[in-house]
Amino acid sequence: MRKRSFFEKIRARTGGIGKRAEPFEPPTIGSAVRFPYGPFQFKIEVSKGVLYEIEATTNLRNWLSIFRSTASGASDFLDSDAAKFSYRFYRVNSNGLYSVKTIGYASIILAPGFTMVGNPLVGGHDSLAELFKEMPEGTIVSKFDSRLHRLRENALKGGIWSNPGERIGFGEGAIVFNPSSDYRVLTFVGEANLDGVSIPVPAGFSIQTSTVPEPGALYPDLRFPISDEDVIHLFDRDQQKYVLYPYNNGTWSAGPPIVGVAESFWVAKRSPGNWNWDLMVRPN
Amino acid sequence: MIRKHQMSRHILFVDDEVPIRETLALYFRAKGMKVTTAETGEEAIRLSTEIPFSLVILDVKLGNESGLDLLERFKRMHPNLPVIMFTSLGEDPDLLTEALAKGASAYMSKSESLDQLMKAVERSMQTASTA
Repeated sequence: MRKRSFFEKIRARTGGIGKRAEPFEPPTIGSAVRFPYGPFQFKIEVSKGVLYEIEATTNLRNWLSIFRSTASGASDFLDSDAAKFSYRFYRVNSNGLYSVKTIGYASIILAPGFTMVGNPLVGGHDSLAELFKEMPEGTIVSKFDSRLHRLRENALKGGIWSNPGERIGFGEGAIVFNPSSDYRVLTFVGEANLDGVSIPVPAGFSIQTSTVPEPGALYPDLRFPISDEDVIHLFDRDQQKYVLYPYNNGTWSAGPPIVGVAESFWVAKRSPGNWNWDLMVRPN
Repeated sequence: MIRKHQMSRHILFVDDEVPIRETLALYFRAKGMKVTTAETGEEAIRLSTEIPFSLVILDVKLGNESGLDLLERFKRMHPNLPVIMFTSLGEDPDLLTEALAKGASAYMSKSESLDQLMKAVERSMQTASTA
């Protein structure tokens, strides 16, 4: 089949000169929030009177239409089914035009004691005050300072973080200490990064997290730049202990480490590398 | 709950494996203990001459150094200081025998949970304080 030119596509959408033009501004999606009891809400904006549908996915490949309507301008959408998913992503489709952004959330359970977390989403509300609103006194969030070779602790005392300006930004990992005996939930909200990403992974120890919100084996599934003599340290939050995954002679000696969405891990690398990912799943 | 006596207890943690050292140090601090960390034997020996530690946790394999040799040096310098040997090498009965013969108060595996490690530390401190 012959590919249509840009102008042919425009004509097909607008109906040509002299006819009523259909809008072809892409719909927008944003202002997202996940409520503590599970539902996810966001704002959409589609030109009035235009048919649109909201699509959802958990793997950024297979999309499911979850709502259809005729637009009345800007409106809020609440996904009550979000409570059933620990991560889910959304876009708006209006006459074949998709929202530029794909937004969503990724939640992780904070067990009593330590959990290693990582933020896979861009441009969200990622300050500690916003991320850990529900956490009790004595919560500690630590990031690794590769210069000092130690964890930098940020503790919640008297309702204030010792470093109030700290964030867990896109692609950053941290260790969270939950001082209570209850399981808590940490939710990252933001935009799924659908463009190419290249994260430098230094030699020596560092904390890394996947920028692709998908679970899988670090290598090959998530394409982590693993080399001989590298060791991955995953923290088992249920057992509260480290499990080591050495990589030698081109293979994982103890099977591949499986990393979940919004999890981070330690890596001891012999030589630096780049964690490259090119997730071209957004329609053209 | 942090017990008052824990604040006065000061652990020296000697390990070049950053994840376990930093996480355990954080854990012990959260439990109300003071923790100083060292990556090398020389740094550990120097610190032990400057600070009156209550206990030392010592990695069996410290880079190219032998933790067992370091254990001997510690015990010569501080005979009453409890030293727990720490290993990721798995259960090696020969190593265990050698460590205990050289004065280690316990031998722990890095694959144990943080709570188990905490219990071992408390046991060793208790034994040392009643000896």
